Amino acid sequence: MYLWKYWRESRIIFYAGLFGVLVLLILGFKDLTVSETGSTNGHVVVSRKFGEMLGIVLVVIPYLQAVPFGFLAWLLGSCGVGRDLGERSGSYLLSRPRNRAYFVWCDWVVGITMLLLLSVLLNAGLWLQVHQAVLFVNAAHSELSLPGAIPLRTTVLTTWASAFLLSALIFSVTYFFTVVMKHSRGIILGGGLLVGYIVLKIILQHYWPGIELPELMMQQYKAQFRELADHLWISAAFRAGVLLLFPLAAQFVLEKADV
Amino acid sequence: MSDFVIHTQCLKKHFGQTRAVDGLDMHVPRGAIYGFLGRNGAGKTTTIRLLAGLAHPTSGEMRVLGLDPKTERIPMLERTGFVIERMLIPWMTANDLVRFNRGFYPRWSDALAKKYAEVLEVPMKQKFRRLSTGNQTKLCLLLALSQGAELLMLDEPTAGLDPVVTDQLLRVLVDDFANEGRTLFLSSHHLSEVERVADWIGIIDEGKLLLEARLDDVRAGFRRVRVIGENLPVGQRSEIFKTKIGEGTTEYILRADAEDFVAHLQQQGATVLDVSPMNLSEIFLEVVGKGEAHVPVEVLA
Repeated sequence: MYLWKYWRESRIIFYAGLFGVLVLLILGFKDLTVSETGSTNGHVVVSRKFGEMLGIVLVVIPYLQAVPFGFLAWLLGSCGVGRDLGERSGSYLLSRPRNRAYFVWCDWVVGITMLLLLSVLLNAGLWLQVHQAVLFVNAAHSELSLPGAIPLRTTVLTTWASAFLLSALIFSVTYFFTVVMKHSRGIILGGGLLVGYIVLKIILQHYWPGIELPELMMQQYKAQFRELADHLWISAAFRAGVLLLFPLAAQFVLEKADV
Repeated sequence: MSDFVIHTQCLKKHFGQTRAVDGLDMHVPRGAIYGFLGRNGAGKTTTIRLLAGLAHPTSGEMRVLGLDPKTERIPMLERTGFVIERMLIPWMTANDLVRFNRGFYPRWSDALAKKYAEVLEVPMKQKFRRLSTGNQTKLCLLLALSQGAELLMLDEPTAGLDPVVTDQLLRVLVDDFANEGRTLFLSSHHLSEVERVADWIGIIDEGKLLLEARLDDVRAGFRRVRVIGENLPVGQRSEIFKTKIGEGTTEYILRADAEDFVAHLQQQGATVLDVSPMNLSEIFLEVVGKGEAHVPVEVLA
């Protein structure tokens, strides 16, 4: 029943995200057309226009989708126990016979599931679009890659992982701050912290190039976007571990808090 | 710790320099209707929050239904109904809240929820935030009553309510809940309401319990005795709660044994002007009066 509560509070954000994803997919299916094609060395070779388009899609989409997903994640962070504490219903909620951890993890799981569904849908749609194009070009080739580039399936998977991990991090950080602040306004502090991190990274890069902070978003490619970054999946697992620290910290804070 | 439904021992809760609860020793017997009285800021709500496990005590011991709210919160909350802030999830309708609450309590009764919705005339299809203060309170009470609690703890349940709704709530609490042998604990500073329903009272001020006793014992024991003279040789007697010396007269507030005390005065040659009983309001004012001695709890308990 508590899962239902978080869903009811946040479903408008999910529906908005779903609407956005569907619009993007419909537009994508409409515009992604193939005119000239060929095949060499087992790879589908696409027309220049299609190649350019696909190149843009593969390189830019991870960053592009991170922005709306990050925003949705930021908004989702405002729901749950932190909001209840701000609306003075925290006493009611936390005097129900459940561990405080239960409320935190229910919120977090539902929020993450929403982000997961949206990001999977968008990236599955992206993969399907290109796959459709490949089928159109040459049904014999199931694997598509741009000349010298990474297989499409891997690209889509890493794109999804990058965008999802970033949005999950934003959600976890902002959720944590709503619990710390005991108010949904905690998302402002959470957002501020993330922006502050980016600013700090830029300053360090400029004045102390030797000190390099990790990117907020997992970098899936090496330079020139022709190879995947080294130890990509270790990096993904590490980032997943880091973002789990925030609900754990939220649980700790809530358990210690006087309501 | 004991057979009391609620038992605290030297319970303290400090917020920096503020001592919200300061060495509280409270004993609520099973089946009692316990009126927890105190002025605003006396420590009533903080005490209830501590007992609900919502706040962590600075030190001291507490038991609710024999369970420690710090370490055995969940079984304690399954058996205890709390109405503290009278703010539920604002966007949920009353029906939503019933469904939401149901999932938390193994002894939840839909039949009771339906019954109290009818008896208390709660508009079940309205969102909580759109309900009037009276209906919000009724809904809080409906949820607490339907969970099958053995103990109900209500913080200022009648604050801000009109006399009709207050009467309706008190009737339900006493007739339907407490009459079945369950324990009702209500904090208030509305003395007339407490006097109407309670059989035990505890008076708290500045975080300390100043008086805890059966209401009948309090009514029977407390007397105001006015005597001619200013420096009467009464000595240190335990029944004297307070002495007020006026111009040519002395007023004694006694907590018990007024007849013995009067006889003692008369033996000393003093002229007793009158001996009058005190109502709860007068007793409360004397007990929480500033700059006065505290009543040892064990005298009347």
